[in-house]
Amino acid sequence: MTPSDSEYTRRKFLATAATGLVSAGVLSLSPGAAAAQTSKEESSTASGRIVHRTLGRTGINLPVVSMGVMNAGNPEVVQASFELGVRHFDTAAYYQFGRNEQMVGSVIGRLGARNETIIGTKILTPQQRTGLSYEALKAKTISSCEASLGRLKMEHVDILYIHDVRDSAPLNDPGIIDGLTELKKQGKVRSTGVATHAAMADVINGVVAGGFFDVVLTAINFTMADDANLLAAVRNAGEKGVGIVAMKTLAGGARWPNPASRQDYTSSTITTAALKWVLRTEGVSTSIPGYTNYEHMREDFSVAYDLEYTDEERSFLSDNSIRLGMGFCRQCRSCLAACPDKVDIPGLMRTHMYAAQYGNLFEARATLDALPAERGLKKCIDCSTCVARCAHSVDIAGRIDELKTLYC
Amino acid sequence: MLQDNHRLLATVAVLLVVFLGPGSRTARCEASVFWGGLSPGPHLVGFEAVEKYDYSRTFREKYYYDGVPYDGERARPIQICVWYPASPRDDATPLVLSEYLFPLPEDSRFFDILSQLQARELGSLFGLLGNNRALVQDMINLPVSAVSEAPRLAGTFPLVVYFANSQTGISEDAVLCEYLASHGFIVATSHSLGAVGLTPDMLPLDVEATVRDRELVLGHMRDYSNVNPDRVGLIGRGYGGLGALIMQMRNSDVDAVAAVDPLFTYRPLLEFAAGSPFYDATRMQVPLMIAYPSGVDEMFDKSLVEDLPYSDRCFFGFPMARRQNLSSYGIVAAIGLDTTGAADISSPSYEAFCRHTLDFMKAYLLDDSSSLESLNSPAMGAGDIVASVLPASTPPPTEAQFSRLIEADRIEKAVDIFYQLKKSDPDLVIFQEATLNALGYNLLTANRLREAAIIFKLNTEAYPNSANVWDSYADACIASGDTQAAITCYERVLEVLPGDSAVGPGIREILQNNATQGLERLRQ
Repeated sequence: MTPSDSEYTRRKFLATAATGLVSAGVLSLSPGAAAAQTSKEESSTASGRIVHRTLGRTGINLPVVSMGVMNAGNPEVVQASFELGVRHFDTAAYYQFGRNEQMVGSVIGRLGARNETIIGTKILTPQQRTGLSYEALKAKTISSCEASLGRLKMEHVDILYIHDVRDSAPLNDPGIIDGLTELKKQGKVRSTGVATHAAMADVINGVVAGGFFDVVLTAINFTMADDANLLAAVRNAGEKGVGIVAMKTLAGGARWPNPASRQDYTSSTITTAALKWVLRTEGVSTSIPGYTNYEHMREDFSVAYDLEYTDEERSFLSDNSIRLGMGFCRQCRSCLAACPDKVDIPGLMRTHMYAAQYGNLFEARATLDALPAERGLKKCIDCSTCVARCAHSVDIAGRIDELKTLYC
Repeated sequence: MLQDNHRLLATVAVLLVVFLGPGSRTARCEASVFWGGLSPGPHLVGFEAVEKYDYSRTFREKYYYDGVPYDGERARPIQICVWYPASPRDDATPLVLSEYLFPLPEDSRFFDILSQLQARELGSLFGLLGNNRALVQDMINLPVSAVSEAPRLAGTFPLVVYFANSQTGISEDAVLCEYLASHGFIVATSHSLGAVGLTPDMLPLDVEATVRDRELVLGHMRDYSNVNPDRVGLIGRGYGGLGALIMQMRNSDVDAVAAVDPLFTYRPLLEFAAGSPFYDATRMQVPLMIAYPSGVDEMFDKSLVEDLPYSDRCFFGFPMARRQNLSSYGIVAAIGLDTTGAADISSPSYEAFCRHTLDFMKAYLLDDSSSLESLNSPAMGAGDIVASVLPASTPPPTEAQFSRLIEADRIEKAVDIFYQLKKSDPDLVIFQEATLNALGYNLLTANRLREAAIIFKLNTEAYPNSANVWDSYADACIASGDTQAAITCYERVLEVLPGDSAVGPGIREILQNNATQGLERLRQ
């Protein structure tokens, strides 16, 4: 789409950015917003046309709102998303033990829309890729991808991510690299990527430095507006041609039944404000909000038509107390040192997120069970006073108490 | 330990890549890693799932408890999963294990219930694999032997309907189902569902629900052009073993039943098994194979099976340390938890069980004499396998069977059977007096005088001291013009009537008068 197609002009973006710069809240903490929205890949309108961007060097042109299918259990919602205009569907072998991939594949197959869609999936969780020889890891990379292709009933995936990368080790692992290279040669994978929701800045910088991976799927949302390293890494990645796909975009806040953190803002305002914040962050190409029903689908996708803030959204994002009240755990692991029993607090916070925010009790239970017993929730049972504190205002003790109620 | 397990799975993955090649495609059945030492048959194995609602039964109530109407589909959801011999094709790609945990439905309304069933089966896998999610994820990525979207092979094949256990899914016996399909059987099943809940419980209503589900499967499969509806076998595991037994008891199309570690050989549940409203030991009249894990517990009890006199019963006890080893789960656990790194992971007892089951089905569904011979040979009990046999007695005909022989103009054969049975067991009550009497009058009414007379005569031989049967026989003799025989009958009425305590005062008077007047009339 040519720039002339867009009514979402540079002047408008500059005006929006200027508003943010004088505000006290997160609007001022996204320094690259103006530049991001005026990059040459941008093609959008504010009058009924969907904003598209190019995903780095992959050359894939996408609507800025995609679908994170992880928690969805209704194929009709996936189909409706396509009909609404969503073209990128993000899934993983890990999600619902393959069922998620099967659902995505069946809907796309039924629609005959494979050539119109971009499918991203993920393989090899940290536990699956640990401790393997070069040969074993290469073979497992290939066989895991083939298993995913079988479930998707597809000849190739557009983006194959390594799942849950928390440090630079997998970025340079020859077993993984050679496996992915082989898959690319065979035409089974078009682009490669990593998905990260811990130490994201380091991982993104590592991807840029390594030069192998094409895309990073990263956790990023308005509660991280003070994370200059992350924002810089995302911007730099975008400049270097690494596509950035945003996840955890709503910080769990919009649909989390926690009125105290919302104050008087509606779910819709929180959702659209949060999504717009992410999409106005320089370097971000698209987002994968994880909606599961039609109402949320329409709400999320409405953002794809217009990234300009409303007064209500601007007000919401300007209030730092809300950001802190959301209590989003960014898995920075800085809390670990505070616990005398060495409990895996980030793991427990993820468990809490799946249970309380996503309503995915199965995933929560599986996450909890995957924690080593000596670092799991049972270690918290006899501890009446949690001394761990979060640098980003996550109520660790409160959430652990809620997990005890659920699981102990 | 964790790393060791992952190394082993990685070794398996490497071997698969080496032997099958990346993205392996196959024209014939390839033994998956789950097969151990089993050899596939000549056929490529296809797998497909079909969804049907049984609108004759509801699975969801019309209203929630608070009175709000339920607006979803309320009919009973049945997903039929089928393994079948497929046409060879070069581009066939094996499924992976996760596709058995969640057989993808065409009907999106099934997603919810199948998701719940997937979670139930994942619970089993987590238990097998030490609650190690990474191992479970690796395991469900492994290829199985069946392929999807393969055309059905031309020809006709016997049908085997499979009953899973109550809390497990189809992957528990996937190897057996694939193995049978590769050898020319079509194997069909549905998921184990309770009458109204997800999992069947120890309730007659739940057993009945699972049986009706598989009856629906049988009905559906008859529409497959390559199913031979005259050759039907059942396999049931655990709870499903009881379902298979009961289904045979009310479906004479079934030719053989294999019960694997069945509920009805578990002593504490014998009363429950025999207490089912549809349990009728006399109707179990086809060969029954009982496969059980020998040495696992002391609750194994053959007594209920011993009380199935009209079935050829064979018992095979397979030595194994754990009950799960008699299923595909045994090999799943072996692959996941074995830290030896052995490339040839196998489960000899499970493989022997599969071979025995194949021989059993070939013997009784394909009339394969060599399989029957093999099944009965001492070699079947070789090694540590415990084998024993209980031969069937000849069952007496039911009233309906007896009547149908007569209707088919084979009354001499029917009578011959009657005498043979009486000869072998003079005290045997084949039919009640009233049953034969009614049959005789039905024939008389239909003007089949000769047959009526034969039946009444048969009744007098079975119940010679009954005045009523002689009276009835007299009616048939009069109708056919045999005066002398009729006179003899009336004389017998008067002879036995005083001692016939079964006759009440009113009937006694009628019989007395009828015989007296009849004799007067006939002697004129």
